[in-house]
Amino acid sequence: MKKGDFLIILLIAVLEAALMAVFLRGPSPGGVAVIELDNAPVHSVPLDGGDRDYEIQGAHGQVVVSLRDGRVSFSESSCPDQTCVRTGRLSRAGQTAACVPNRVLIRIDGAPDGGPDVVLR
Amino acid sequence: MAAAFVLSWLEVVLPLSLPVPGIKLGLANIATLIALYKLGVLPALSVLVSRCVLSALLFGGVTQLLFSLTGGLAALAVMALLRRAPVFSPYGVSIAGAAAHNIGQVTVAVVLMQTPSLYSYLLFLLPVGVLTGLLTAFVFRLCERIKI
Repeated sequence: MKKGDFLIILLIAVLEAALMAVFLRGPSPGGVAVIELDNAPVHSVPLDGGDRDYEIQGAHGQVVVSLRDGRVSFSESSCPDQTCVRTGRLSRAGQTAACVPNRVLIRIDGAPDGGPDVVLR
Repeated sequence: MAAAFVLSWLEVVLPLSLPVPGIKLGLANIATLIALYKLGVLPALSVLVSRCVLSALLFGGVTQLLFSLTGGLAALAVMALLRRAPVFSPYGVSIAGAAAHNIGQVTVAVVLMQTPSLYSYLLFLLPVGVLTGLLTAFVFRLCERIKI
């Protein structure tokens, strides 16, 4: 291994750190879960709202998106592999879960007042 | 030269018969790396494209072809650029290729699903890529010694 190799590894590590700063932030107060069907938003759900279920007719069948205790997840889905259900609960800005056969996406956005997505220091 | 061609043809076929997801990728890249260092960019390109097309025809669909071709072409471009510089050994070139491959593939997913946050997949893909890059280059080194 030569000097340049370590530079490459260093660059990848820097990229990894940047990704962590963007995607691994703490719980977002006032976060909003956006539920999309076919790339179009159908629901915008503040995470601090009461417990609710949303039934959505996807391309494959029905999915149920549930909000419990400030966390949102796929609680049921018609899809064969159930990857979406196994993704678990989302609560932090930047997190996503998707049911590809049903074309349904859950995405957590920052505070609805338009808080910054990334802060560079 | 002819021996090298036969060898790289063999290596294209071999990876196809070992479709364990992560490992298959690594093995196929050994062929690309050897072709690139021993034969040049164009032979490496043809090995890559034929490998991707064959694999997609036998195992996957158009989506798989799109992903593997994008990742492979990105990796080849980066590796072709880096291999000339004496500061990089095949290890660095291979690692850079693996990173380019992963970034390329995740970008395809982001474009298809219109979801930039899918880049979070790189959080675990990049470190794994460094490891497979090292492994691929290691096997390449072994093959070099065996041939001589």
